Amino acid sequence: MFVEKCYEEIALKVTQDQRRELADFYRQIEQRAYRMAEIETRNSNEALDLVQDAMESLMNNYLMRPVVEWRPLFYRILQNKIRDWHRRGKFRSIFQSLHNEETNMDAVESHVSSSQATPEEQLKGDLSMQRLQMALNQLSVRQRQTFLLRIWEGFNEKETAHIMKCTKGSVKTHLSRAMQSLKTQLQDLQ
Amino acid sequence: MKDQTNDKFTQQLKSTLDQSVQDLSEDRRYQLQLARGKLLNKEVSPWRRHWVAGLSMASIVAISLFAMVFVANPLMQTQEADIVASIENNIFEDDDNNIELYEELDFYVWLSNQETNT
Repeated sequence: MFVEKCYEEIALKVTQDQRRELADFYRQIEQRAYRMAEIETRNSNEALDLVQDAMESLMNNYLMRPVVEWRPLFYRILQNKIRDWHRRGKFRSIFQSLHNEETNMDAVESHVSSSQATPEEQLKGDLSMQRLQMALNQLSVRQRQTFLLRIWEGFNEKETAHIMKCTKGSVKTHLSRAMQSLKTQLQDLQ
Repeated sequence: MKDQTNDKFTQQLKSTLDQSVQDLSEDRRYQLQLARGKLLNKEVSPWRRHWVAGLSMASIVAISLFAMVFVANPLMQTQEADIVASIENNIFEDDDNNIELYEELDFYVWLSNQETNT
């Protein structure tokens, strides 16, 4: 059919050019996005799935949007997927906690002890990722998201608020609480 | 308010996170690359590709149906004509008083005004 053929030709040209740009964009952000998802999920396979889903969603729904909008859009999608993952996790954890109460207590103890600096780290004034991960685990999901987006990814307050679907005031509050908690937990670094 | 995004402590947190990206295993990097490649070589779903054409076709079909049913159907036109004719008949043939009323409308208006004045 004529209309369909014309549309296919236009779509093919658009997607070829834009897919090239999209490939560059993904190359730039995929590893950081993966680390962000891994910090949230603490599971490498889940993190990979979330990043893949976010990439696919961006490609299917926002390919026609200007390239400058892709980064905030991508992180917005990723944060939504991470939030959904946490929601599903809450449901899972209710059942897990019923069966593994003792194991969980052990996990909490090891958790607290591993967020302390090792003597080597204290000497060097270094911060290992493992220790930072432990400190980040103590934050709420929203505080951690705000910290990662504002501090690590460098989004401004307005962009962060847009990505997290909240107000600038909430971003300020979450960040302030996150920094306070991190400073308390990692006070030997200051 | 103190800038929380640029002090020494924050820089250290940032550099630890950056380093963790550098430390990603080769295997994990390869998996990400593979996922990207797969995604970008994937066909756009048939529904997405054809939705514009489908929508245009649906519109054309809808307009044609409308035209067939309401405009080009001779039976309906005849029926409409019959209805109009029957209304006209009602006014002009069945009731002679109606015609008289229309013809002398000015007189009845004047009469009504006279009555209200007195």
